[in-house]
Amino acid sequence: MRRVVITGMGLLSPIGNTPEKALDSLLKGTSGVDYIPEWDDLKLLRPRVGAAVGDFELEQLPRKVRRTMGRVGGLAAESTRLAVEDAGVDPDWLSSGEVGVSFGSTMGSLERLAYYYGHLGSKGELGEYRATSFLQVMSHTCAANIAQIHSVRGRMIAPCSACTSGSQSIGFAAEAIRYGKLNGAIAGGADELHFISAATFDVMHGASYNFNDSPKLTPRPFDAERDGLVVGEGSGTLILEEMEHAKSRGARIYGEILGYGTNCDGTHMTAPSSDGMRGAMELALSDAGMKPGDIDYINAHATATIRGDIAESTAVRGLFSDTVPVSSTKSLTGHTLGACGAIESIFCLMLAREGRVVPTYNLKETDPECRGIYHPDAVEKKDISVFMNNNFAFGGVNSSIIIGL
Amino acid sequence: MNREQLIDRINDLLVNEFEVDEDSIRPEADLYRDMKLDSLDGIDLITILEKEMGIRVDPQKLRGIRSLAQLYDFVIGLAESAGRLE
Repeated sequence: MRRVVITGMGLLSPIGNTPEKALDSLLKGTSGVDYIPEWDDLKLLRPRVGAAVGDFELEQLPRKVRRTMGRVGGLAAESTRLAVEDAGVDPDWLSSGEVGVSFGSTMGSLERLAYYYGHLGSKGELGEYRATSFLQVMSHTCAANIAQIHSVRGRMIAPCSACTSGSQSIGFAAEAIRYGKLNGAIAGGADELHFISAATFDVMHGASYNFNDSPKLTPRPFDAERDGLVVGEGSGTLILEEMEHAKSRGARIYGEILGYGTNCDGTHMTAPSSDGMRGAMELALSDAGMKPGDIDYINAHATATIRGDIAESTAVRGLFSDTVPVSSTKSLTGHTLGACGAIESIFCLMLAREGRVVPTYNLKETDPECRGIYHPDAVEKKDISVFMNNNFAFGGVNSSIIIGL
Repeated sequence: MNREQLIDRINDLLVNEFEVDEDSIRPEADLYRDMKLDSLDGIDLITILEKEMGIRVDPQKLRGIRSLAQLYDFVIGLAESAGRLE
């Protein structure tokens, strides 16, 4: 079986725009959640907090590149530029045809969608609609833009499965490399912060708004006082390579994709299913040829919704012993939606290399229904050889990735 | 709007919307080779002018326009026939 390794990482996140800065925030518990003053005029929106990426503006990219992007595409392009640079790969290899791009987001740019289609939909006018407008809004805008920038000629995979977009992108890319369809891939996920995302969760009673005056205290995954998720944004890119290819060029290897599992509940669009979640974890374990006892740390999806956290706790409790540390880094980043699978994989790689496990910050009193699993209450020193990263999405999509150092 | 103002507007769009290097704004300049525009830019430029001047352009007639001078003549011709030029 061909093996798949990670040789490059690029990150834009609410807690840092390099893996090193993010690690520092994770260890110190520095939250990226803040009050969003731009939402002040939206009278009916209850959540007023979000987690934005700092020090990035679309305008910093050359016009030729950014003309087909909204913010989400720009975030994806920038984290990919950083990952490619980090991996030190030859640009000719990226355009050789043996490298693909596998990159997802919930959808295209929401900001651009509202800007252009508001005219089209409500006024019947073309407004500012241009030849480049659709390219900023289309669901595979991230993958398409990355492919253009790096002249990628292998296959394009663009999972747009909301909050599993990033993790499925990594998983499907790894499978394509394993089966010899690619020798390498630019893989990851992105999403941009927009009030429409906050409103989407608000109307479903899934967004946090009890902590609008104390943004750092929310979201509160697994906590008895949690009141929903906080929307965030970001982008994470991994450069994946077939192991022998990476070794032959003397690449630095951060980790190996050992297993991947994805399934769907087929029961309800939004209600989480602990059976489906557990099924995805079991598929990943089976794919890796591992047992639950082989996992040293679980990065939970745990967004701080009432039902989602309980379902995930139930699934983990049923499968793993109560000695495996479990935590949700969303307590610091908010829910970065399509980006979370990629961003959290990078967080875990950095923590594992540092030999540290972080707690779920803001978890003070564990919800009784989230007990029975091990929630570390402080940063712990621990050898992590293998970790699991879980992500779940609307539509009943479940995804679990197992990565080893 | 007169002829000179229209030419100024086209130049202004090229520099500010399409970030074309001001030094390359010469009538004989090739839109694609010298100004680094491509077909997407060409369509967007025409779309902006269409909206500003209340005209519609037949895409077939855009083919063959290579130089900035040809673009000026094409847009001026359209504006004149639509009665938009003084």
